[in-house]
Amino acid sequence: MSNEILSVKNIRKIYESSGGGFGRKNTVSALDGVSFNLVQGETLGIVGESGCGKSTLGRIISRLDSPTAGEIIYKGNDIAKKSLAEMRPLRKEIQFIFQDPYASLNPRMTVRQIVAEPLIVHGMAKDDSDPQVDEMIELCGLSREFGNRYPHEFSGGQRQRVGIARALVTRPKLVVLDEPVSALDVSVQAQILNLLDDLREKFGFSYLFVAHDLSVVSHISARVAVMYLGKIVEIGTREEIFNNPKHPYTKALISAVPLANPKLERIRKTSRIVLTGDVPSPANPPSGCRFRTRCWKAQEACTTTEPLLVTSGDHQVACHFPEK
Amino acid sequence: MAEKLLEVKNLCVSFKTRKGVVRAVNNLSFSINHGEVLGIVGESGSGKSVSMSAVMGLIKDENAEITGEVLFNGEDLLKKSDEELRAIRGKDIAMVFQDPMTALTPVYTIGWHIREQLQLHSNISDKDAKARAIELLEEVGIPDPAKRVNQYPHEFSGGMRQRAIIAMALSLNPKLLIADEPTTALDVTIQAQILDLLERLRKTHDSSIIIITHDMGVISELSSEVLVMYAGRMVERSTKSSLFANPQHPYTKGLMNSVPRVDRARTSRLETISGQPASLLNLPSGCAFSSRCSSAHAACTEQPVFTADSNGYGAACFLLTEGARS
Repeated sequence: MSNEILSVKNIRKIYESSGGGFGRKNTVSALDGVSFNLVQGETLGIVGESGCGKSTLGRIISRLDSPTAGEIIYKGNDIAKKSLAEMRPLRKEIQFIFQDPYASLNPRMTVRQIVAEPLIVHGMAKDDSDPQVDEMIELCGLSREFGNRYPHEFSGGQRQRVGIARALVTRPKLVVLDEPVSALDVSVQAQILNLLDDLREKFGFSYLFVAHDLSVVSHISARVAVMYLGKIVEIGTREEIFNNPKHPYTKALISAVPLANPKLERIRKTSRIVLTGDVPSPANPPSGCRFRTRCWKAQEACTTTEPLLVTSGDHQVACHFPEK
Repeated sequence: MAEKLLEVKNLCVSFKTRKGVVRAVNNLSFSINHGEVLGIVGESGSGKSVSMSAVMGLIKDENAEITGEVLFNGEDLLKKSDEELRAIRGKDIAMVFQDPMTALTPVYTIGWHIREQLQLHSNISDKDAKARAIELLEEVGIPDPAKRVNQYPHEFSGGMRQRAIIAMALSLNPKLLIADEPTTALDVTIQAQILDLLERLRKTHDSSIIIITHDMGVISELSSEVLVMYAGRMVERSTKSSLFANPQHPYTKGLMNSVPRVDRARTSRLETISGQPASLLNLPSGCAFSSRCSSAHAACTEQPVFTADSNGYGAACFLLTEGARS
């Protein structure tokens, strides 16, 4: 596709630790062959449970971390192996919004200085009096007067607006959001989700939205990728994933979300799939299909052969026995 | 009334701070019957956790002021000494906290935690206590309990730790279990397991449960009655079905509409409650929600009275007393 902004091919990330003792090294394979594409202006949601590698993926695509192997094609160029210096001019186009609005803002800088910093770094403004700064602060739903205040004077939701303003002020093409609303109260969460959607429509950003909350992901994303133990097990349009899940894990994940609707909840409770056990350690993943230890459909073939992502229509699934 | 297990009357909790008095809980009254599950919903700072800590007698701060009555089986817990409370806590009322990572002592085994609980309240030998600990771990669904009982908290995953904590809480068959955000720190598939477990345990042990959460989905799954709190006050109390079918207070309505849901078709925008949650340091004299409420009007500068029917269900909003519903 011509308007494809990002194409990720077979990304691997192996972390090494010296925890083995006697000079042995433990390796943890956080990402094991992840591939997907992202179109300009689209939102791709990445869901999965803790330890599935979703945050690592976000950090690698924005090159806060480097992949062990694989390609990250951003607008036709592979940025996977670019050095920090080579990445620098690209940073204004690829921005990151962090989870914790308390830890991600410098407490000694005013809001205006925080939002102006990326512009100054990239030579897009001389100082924080640039009109782009106040414009962005206002676009993010804060009043201009807030610019002179410090982060501690704000609530979590307002701080997250500052973090969003800082990331978007350089008008990036691609924005990676790592759990941007999970630290916020529900009434504030809705405001931030609406803000992100409005800004995307206005400026045509592409979002890579990493979150564990399926309801949030289903609201904001056009396409959704489900991850389990460092792999994408299913990827497709939002409608396909939520209305017609094919991977048993996706099915179980969706059915585990408690619904704020007692009538539906009662009906669904009878058909709920409760997975047994925990996610296996990524340091020692099961052979074959990684989900087989918790899967109720697992058979002989699942222990020996690893299922690959197979395309069917606008939907890809990695399972030997997908749902019909 | 013999039926009521816990009755809280006009509970107020405030803290003196350098910046002024923080009124964390204002005039909270509610009760819970045997075998019932009461859900308390609210956002951060709504007073849901503080009120339960006060019920348990866990607020030890000298700057705290607690007034009102907490009647447990007819006896006022607020008047009891520490020693008397210690006999009740753990045995009759048990608590499960939000963070399973910090609720266990890292230097002792899981079995030690459960044994300590048992031996503190009953005369039971080490051997019997250990056997009981294994039984309890099995009951909450921990595989290979005989081996697991000798392991340390760091060898358990988050979901398993929360199970172990629930096993501890249930070790003496408490009449009341207070669970403060028991699944917030857990993944959804593990959350589903823990919610199932709580439901099953309520049936087998016939305990009452108070579950504190911000997640309407958890409420809809587990509780029979719901209490909604905002800025330290109870704004609505209702049965689960009528709360979801017909929420009365504008805050409750807003809260329900602002949550994105998997079971609904995607709408382009979420409904929101404007503004930020009220600061407890300087609460307005009138309704604390009025600054964020789309139906606020002149009357809202005064504090609305909680108008309840004979069951104690109702809401604190002028729209209801005036009969002028929006």
